[in-house]
Amino acid sequence: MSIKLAIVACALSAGCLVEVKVDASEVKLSYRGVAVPATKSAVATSFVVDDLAEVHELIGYDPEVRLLRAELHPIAGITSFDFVDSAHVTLAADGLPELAAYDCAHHCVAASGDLTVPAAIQRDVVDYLRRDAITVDVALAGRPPATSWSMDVDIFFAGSAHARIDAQSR
Amino acid sequence: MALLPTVAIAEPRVGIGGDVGVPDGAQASLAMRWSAVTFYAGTGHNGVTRGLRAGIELAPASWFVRPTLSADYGRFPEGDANPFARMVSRDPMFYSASLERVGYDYANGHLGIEIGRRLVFSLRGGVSHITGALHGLAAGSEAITFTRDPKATVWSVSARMGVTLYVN
Repeated sequence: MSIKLAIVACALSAGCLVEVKVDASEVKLSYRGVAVPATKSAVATSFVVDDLAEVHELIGYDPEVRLLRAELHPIAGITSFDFVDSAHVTLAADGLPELAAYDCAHHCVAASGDLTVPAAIQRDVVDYLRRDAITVDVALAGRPPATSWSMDVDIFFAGSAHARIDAQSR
Repeated sequence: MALLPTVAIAEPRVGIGGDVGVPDGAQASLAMRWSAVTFYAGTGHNGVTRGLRAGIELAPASWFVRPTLSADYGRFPEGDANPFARMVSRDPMFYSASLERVGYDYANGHLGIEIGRRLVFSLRGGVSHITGALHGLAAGSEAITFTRDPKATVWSVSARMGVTLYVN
């Protein structure tokens, strides 16, 4: 919650003795047009998400972030991920260990052809979102197409933030 | 023929009043008082939109100056809070997409005092619980999307002061 939004909330709701909690049940971080070259075996691709300024503003107050799922959408070269047997998505950020974030070993492909990979861990990962950039590695095992293709990747997470404004902090 | 006991039911006192405070804003209410219990309901404005409020108050003493215990619930539908934010921040250029739709429900629990019998002055203070949805967050980002609007919950101290004129 931005400082100005907190000030308005403070003015609207009380004489500046306020405890605010914000719960975001689903936030989507998107990366468009991930190109994947033709390969005969497993697919491994990587991209960097560095447009995190809005996230930094939102997680500035005692935040907690939990992973929900990753969704892969075919956009060119393929119409479905039905060639995928298993999928693994890892996150990495400067100074932090690689995080096995999302994992799916079967029944990953939805009827629409999109690939949905559930979260592999249930702990707070806010430290990764505090960094300037996150590297996302996608590994798909199965029978990939013989031609290059591309996809959009959406990473879903949930979070909460807590702010307290009292007479001592003014 | 047995005499049936009778119970005298006092006629309610009817009053109209107004009060100012937070998070209620400025409110105009109709009040109906039976002995120590008062029910009130009305409409008000919080600087953004017009809303409704209803509540109940206990004033167990018949003194000229008496303590009160009240609880009420109100709702302000969503409205553009940017003009209010510009006034509060004294920044005429201030704008936030997240303030375009601001509304909230609130519940108050207050202790207070009342002074008077026909013209009653009141001062109340206590705690408020306020809930609302946040819209327009990350509006300027192509990478970040809130697929479900976050919910905000606020606990705060609150107070209001008012006057009520009982017409009977």
